[in-house]
Amino acid sequence: MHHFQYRDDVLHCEEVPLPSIAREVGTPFYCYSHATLTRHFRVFDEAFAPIPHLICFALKANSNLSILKLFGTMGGGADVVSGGELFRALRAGIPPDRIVYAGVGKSREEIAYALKSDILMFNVESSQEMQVISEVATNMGVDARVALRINPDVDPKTHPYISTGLRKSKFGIDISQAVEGYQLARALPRIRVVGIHQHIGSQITEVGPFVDALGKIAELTRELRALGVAIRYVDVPSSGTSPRPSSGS
Amino acid sequence: MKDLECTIVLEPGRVIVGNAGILVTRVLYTKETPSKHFVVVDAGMNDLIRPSLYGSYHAILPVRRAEGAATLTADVVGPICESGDFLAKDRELPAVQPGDLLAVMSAGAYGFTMASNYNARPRLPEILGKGEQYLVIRRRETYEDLIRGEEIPEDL
Repeated sequence: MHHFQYRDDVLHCEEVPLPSIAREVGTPFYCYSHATLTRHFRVFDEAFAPIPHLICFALKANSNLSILKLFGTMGGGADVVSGGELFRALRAGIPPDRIVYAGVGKSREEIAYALKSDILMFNVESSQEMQVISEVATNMGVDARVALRINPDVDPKTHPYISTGLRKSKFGIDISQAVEGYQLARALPRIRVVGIHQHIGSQITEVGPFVDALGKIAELTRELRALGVAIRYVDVPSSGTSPRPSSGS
Repeated sequence: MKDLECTIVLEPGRVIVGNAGILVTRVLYTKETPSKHFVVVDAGMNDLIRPSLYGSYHAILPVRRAEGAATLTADVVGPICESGDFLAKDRELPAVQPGDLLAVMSAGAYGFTMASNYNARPRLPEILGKGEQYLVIRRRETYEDLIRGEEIPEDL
């Protein structure tokens, strides 16, 4: 549902006829609907109301400051994948403790910027990255909160074992090897493991199947807690839910 | 998950903004070849790259519609000097004239964020419609914006 509708055969954005905007700002232009943005955010937010949750809007989809500000005032956070996106999120007033940083190629400078900004956590994608985060955090004298990526469905026969050494393997970690992976990560200086990051791989506009899929993760969370790894966040990237298949997530 | 007292972190993007945005473009020319109709518009792949990059489908609507208007099947193409510069292929559209406005739907996600200055084209303004008013939340880039940061060194 959106607020781009015809009135008297003229397409409007909410109450504004598009030809008026075209006349005043010229063409081409992007046009967003405030009501649609807030409605979609609210519907998503309400769908998860039964469980404690944080909606970290993915800046890669749209990083306009005003749009980020809008979601921020509705309680939203930010999912960033670069120093530039982090800058945008902060500039839009998103509180750092609602910002998560993902992506396979974080540079030392970007990691330092995120640590200095005291973001909620890094979604760590490789063991080398974990080492670098540990080094940068150690140099800065701060702790780095991280979530490790878990792959619940990876065939061990075709996937590198974590047992060949965390230093060599790439995340996601096979769920069967996750405990070992977490223990190794925890042993690194200044790394505080606070989260699990997992691609559910389903469209998550319905809570039912989503909660079912979290069963395995819940089990792992309990196991890790029993070992003293204080998991507080379960990070679940959503897959695209547009009517037609396409890129991004 | 409730009993775990964990916070679930969700990372939606397109699901929230995809259908909340459109790209409005003007028809510059219509062109006919023996095999195809083309509608040349003023937005190109530098403004919205998804069709070229992924073959993404975006509905294209006339901003002013007329009941019972004639239709044609055309490629909607941009001004960029690349044969891959298109917004739609073999799309049934109402017969349009130069000057007509078209709305490329579902352009709120991976639209502006993937835009570039290719062909030295200033990036587009972003407008936010809110009730009876609209707000310019990013102005159109100028030619001066295009060269910001560039220098021609003395000893070139």
